[in-house]
Amino acid sequence: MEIGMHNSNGRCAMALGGELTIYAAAELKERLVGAVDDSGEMEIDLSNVSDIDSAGLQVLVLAKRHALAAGKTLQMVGHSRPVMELLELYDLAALFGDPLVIPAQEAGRDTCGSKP
Amino acid sequence: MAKTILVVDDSSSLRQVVGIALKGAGYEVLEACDGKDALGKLNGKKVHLIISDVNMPNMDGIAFVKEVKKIAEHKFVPVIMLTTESQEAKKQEGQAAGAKAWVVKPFQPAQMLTAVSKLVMP
Amino acid sequence: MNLDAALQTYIVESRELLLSMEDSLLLLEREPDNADAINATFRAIHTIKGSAGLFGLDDIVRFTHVVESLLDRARDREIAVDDRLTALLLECGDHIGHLVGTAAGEQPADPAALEARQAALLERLGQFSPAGVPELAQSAAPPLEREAELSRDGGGPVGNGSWHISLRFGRDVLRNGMDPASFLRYLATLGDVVSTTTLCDALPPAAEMDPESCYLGFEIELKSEASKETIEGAFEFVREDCLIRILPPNSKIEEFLQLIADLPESNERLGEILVASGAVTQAELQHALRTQQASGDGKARVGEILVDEHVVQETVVQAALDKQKQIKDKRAAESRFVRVDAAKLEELINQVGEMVIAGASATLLARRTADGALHEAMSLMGRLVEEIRDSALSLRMVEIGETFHRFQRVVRDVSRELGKEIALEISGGETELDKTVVEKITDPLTHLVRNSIDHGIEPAAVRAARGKPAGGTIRLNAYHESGSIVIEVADDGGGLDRDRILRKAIEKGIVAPTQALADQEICNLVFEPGFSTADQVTNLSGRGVGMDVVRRNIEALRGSIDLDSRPGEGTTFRIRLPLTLAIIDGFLIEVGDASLVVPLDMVVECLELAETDKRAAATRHYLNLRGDVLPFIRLRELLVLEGEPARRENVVVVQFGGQKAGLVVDQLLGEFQTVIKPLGQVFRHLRGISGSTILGSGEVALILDVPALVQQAASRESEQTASVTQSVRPGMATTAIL
Repeated sequence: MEIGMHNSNGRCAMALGGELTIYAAAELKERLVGAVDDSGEMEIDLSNVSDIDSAGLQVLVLAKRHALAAGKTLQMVGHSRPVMELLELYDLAALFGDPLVIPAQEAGRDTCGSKP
Repeated sequence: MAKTILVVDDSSSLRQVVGIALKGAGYEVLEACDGKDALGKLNGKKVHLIISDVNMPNMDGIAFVKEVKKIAEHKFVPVIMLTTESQEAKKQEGQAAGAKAWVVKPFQPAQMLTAVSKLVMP
Repeated sequence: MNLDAALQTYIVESRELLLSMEDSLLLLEREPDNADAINATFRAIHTIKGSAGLFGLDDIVRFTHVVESLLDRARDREIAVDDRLTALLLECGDHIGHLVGTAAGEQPADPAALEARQAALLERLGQFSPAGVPELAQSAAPPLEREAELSRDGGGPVGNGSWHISLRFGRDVLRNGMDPASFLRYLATLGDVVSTTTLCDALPPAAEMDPESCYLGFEIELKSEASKETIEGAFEFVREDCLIRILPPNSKIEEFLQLIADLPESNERLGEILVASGAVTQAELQHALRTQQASGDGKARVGEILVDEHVVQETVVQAALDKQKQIKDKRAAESRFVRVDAAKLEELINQVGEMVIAGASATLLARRTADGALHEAMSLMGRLVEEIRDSALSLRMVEIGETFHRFQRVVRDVSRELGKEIALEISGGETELDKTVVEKITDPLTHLVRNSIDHGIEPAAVRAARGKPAGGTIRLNAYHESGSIVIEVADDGGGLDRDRILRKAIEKGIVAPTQALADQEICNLVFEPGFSTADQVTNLSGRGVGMDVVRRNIEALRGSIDLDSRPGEGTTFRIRLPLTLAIIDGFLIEVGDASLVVPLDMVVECLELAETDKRAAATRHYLNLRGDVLPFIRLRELLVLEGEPARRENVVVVQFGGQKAGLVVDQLLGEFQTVIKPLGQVFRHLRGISGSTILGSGEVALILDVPALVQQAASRESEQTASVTQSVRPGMATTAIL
């Protein structure tokens, strides 16, 4: 798993890449929950996610809820193919409430930090 | 990308037939003849499923699964254990070690493919 | 690779397993409490059965299943391991061997007998079974579930013709590698997933959430023709950890009510989900709820068709976890090997053979030039080719120990049959020889071993009278000696009765009553055709086949056999075989315009035929070689070659089995690597020729059958010397005795 982060004015842009699977779930949870806690507004770019399983998905759901509970916004963008496939299988797109297809210029915004 | 399955059994004919069936279905297959050999094969490889016999020389299936569960990169790999109907005690032991899926020997290649596809699609 | 190849692997593998099982059983006979041996026996049968299923070899599965069950109980000490059991298991092993043979496409000699034997074995196996009747193996897995009775009351069917599946995954499934997504994907292969509702209700707040636990639940509508068993089967690996409810299409509303009661989420939430997914309509649901409340029966016991989470087989087996070190060590060594199809190896050796020929041809051409660098390069390549040849051949070299080992069983069986106590000692098991030779030597060896047990070792009473230990010993030994392998079968029995042999030989007309024979020669009479009294010529390993057949078989391998017998002390049979049948170092000679090859390891020396000998040779067929008599053969005469002998003739002195002979030839052309090609059927009967080869020039050269030539020369010489030169006879005798 790769995590890139960029903070400015309470707004966090995070880019997730690689495998969001159970092997990375613990780290993912810690980083996501931490990031939500530390910022007012958050956007997660998923375009470089090469694989995701139910454990990874659960953490994303958790982060979303965690943000909602704190009255913050968390938006996920640039869903990669594996992410879309799992969301479709689970019919969860609605829960995420995020646009699954992002306009090109939006996806290319300054969301991605470099890979660690 | 094709999913990789490690087949561990001391019977080379069984590995061959299972290998043929799995490859035919679109999986990548690694073979090992016992637990020790299998641990070596796992080294540095990403494996999506392990099919392992229980009765094997050197390191049997139960000990092998216990070892796998200790390896950070592999501890969540699903394991299908091969057993006979008379080995309920072994099955309990294997379940405790973390091998939750079982296929009873003897089986037809198609039965194995079905079991595999419940856990990992090619 | 295809299934046929895999079946071949299975057959080879099963045979190896049967052999190792036999070893374990023989060990058990001596040490009935040896847990390793019981385990190893169990595992062999287990593996044979397991793989048989893959190939649909139901006969093997059925029979091995019965044996396996018995062994399982022996492992658990429910059955005592005694002679009766091991004897039965040994026979079962033999029978499985026949079944495997049938699977390999061998026609059973007598199918009816095979069946009768199986029935008899099953009967005997049954005597160990508690019920007295062996249970037959089920070829299919036991049925997963029994269908529960549905409630007949409680309203008509509702819904949309889909299966309704409710899943609440257990916390540990992800840790166990079971991803709910996989099961959903599999479910999608069984039909059309109309709707999926994913429930994350169980997901706790961030602080309490364990990222490796599973909190997911699903409500799924599936349109499918699959049976309930199949749909339930999708979740067989997680049913012990999960809450699973499956309602068939058109289930009654009551059943949905029960479902709602069973599931952890609130009734309102579930009601919404069911309506949203189309499982039931709002009206149906409300009507049912009203009826239920009116009757006050909140927990109506309606038909439950949930997957039974507690189907666990009753038979709990206390499986021993004993270490199986002995067998393991052997297996560990085996696992370093790569199994290669023998045909591929054959091909490689053939190709190397062609390369040897091509190399020889290139060397010949290079010699015609004066290019020093080329000569050097060719000689380097020559060396490399030679090394490759040796390496290629060594691939096919196997230790003879495994073959020797099989005789434990033969010795056990035959000695029991005859009521003799005989131990088998093995030495030199690490000696290697060509696999093709090993395969062909088993039968003659079996015969020799049986012969030693039967005729060699005396009855215990006789042994006691002679002051020998009551138990006899048979020794198998092997070692390398000058390019050959020597295999010895020795017994500590009474030795051969020379008088009886001589009497019998005279009686059969094999020797003339007046013929004077040395002890050694008398002993070797047992190898003469027609010496054996046996009438029933069945198979070689059976008793009653003459030693002449053994000798013929060994000679067919370019080998020889002789024996050494001491009265009262025992007899040793000595088989001498070439290490390989494929390639030899040859010595190229020329007679007239024919090129001939003599195996180099049989060549002792070469000398020019002196004028005096040439003259003498007109009347007799031997030379004086430094005081010894050397019988010789003129190849020109033997092979009926045209033309006059060369002015200067040469003699190649060859040796085989302790005897020497001279071959008179025109020219000596030197050493030459030779790939043996078998002779065509037409030339099989040619005396003195054992094969052919192709020279670098493309010419065919015949390979001389030195053993046959030596024998021919010796016999002709002895006829003559008997009448001509009695004086040199003592010298001759020393060369004839080994």
